Amino acid sequence: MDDVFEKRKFVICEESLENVIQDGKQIGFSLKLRIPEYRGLPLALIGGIRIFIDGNLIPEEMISITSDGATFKWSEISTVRSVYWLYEEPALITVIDNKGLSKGTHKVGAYVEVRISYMPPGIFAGEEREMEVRNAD
Amino acid sequence: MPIKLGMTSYSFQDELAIGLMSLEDTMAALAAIGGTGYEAILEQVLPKGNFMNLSDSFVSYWNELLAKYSLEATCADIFDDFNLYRNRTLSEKEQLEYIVHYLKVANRLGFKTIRVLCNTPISVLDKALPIAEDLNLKLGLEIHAPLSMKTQWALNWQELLYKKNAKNGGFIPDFGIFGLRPLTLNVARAIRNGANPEICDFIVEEYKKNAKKRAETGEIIASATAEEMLDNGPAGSKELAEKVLKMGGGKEELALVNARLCYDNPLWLVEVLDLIIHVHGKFYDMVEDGKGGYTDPNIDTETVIRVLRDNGYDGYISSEYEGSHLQREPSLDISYDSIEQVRRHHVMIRNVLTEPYKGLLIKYDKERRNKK
Repeated sequence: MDDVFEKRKFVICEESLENVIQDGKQIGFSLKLRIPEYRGLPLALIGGIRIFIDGNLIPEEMISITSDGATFKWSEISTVRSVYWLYEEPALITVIDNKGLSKGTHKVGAYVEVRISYMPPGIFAGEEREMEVRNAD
Repeated sequence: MPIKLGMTSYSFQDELAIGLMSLEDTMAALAAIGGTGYEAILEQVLPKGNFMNLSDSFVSYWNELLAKYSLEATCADIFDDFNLYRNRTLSEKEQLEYIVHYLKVANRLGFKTIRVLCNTPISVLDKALPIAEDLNLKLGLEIHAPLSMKTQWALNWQELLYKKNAKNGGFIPDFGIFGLRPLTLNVARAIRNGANPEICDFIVEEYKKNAKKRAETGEIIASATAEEMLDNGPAGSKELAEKVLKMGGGKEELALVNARLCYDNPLWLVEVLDLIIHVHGKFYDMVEDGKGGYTDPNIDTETVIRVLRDNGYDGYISSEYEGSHLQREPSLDISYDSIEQVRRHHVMIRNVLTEPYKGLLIKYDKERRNKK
């Protein structure tokens, strides 16, 4: 089934785009997202995360999510019941791609599928914004 | 006791999510509007993991806030996430455990009523009823559009309550079941996205005709999942979809046809009044009514309030603003103000509640002069 993208405001936290630096080397980037649902949810109920940088889709296996004080790789979250994507606290989405982002402005797309028992599956809600990287080589 | 007014935290969802309002702000706003009942979605308002692990310090803070703003905790909205894992549906035992967690949290926070969603199996609710009773909680099954009061699903719950002689179960009607028309906000959005305004008008008129027919006949709908209601509800007829396609309508127009709305006759409330333990005052768009007051063109609220008023309903009406998520397209300037919307909803309800006492002296004086 094809992903359906539904645009909505307020998903991307402004000024949250940063490079991840390890041992002085840029190894990836991160940004903060608000949950596109009207309540916090166990991470197991997150169906998918689609991050686009300048039009290119980031493979899910590069993504990890930090929320409620814990970090999980994308491949791990389908069993996470007791850690929530909290309502009032954005989740940190980290992408480790061994290069990070170049200095300047990037077009960022961020869409999240939440699995709600009374809603049809496959709908990714989110938005696109021009964002400036806060720290870059 | 007269009808009491409150609000659900759902109404201020954007303000809470972004951090423009704190939990305390939402309570202060409700008190300023004049409401006394605070309804909450627990995973929305409990901060920092308190939903999973409720701390004593948060419970004290919660109680202090309620006291400070003279509010009472009314209804806690709970969910059945039976689809938690991708490879299987939660067993009924697991669903019950999930519900019991909600009940314990709600009880510690002083809630009196629980809103249960329509997709919770009745066999699970059957087991939850005595547990809720021990925790001094009532379980209210929400009747939410496109489900209707006149469905086998609603009757099954009613029968179960009578059979068990369970005093702590009932219904929570959501005003969405009194839908007068395809939503003004959705029609506006469809037109922005290129829908043909004439076809939209046609869909609105057809909906109204079908709604009237439904209110008169009131047949019990036997198979009543939301999906099946799409074919049975006044907005969702397959015939109407075919007509719209013939007229040249496309995706946008068809979305207005299959909009999960319905219209129940407000008088049907009287038949289940004893079982109504809370009310969701769902609304979408409070506009000026040209008579100095406000109205929502989408919902038959005034009629419903009159029915509740005249038949002695004495619980809460909890205002639930649902316009925000229909106006969040990134290209649109935000023009809705959730707080003002809830305030207008309360003004409208109070207007209707005071009708029986209005103008008595004027009328008496007029009759007296005419007697002379």
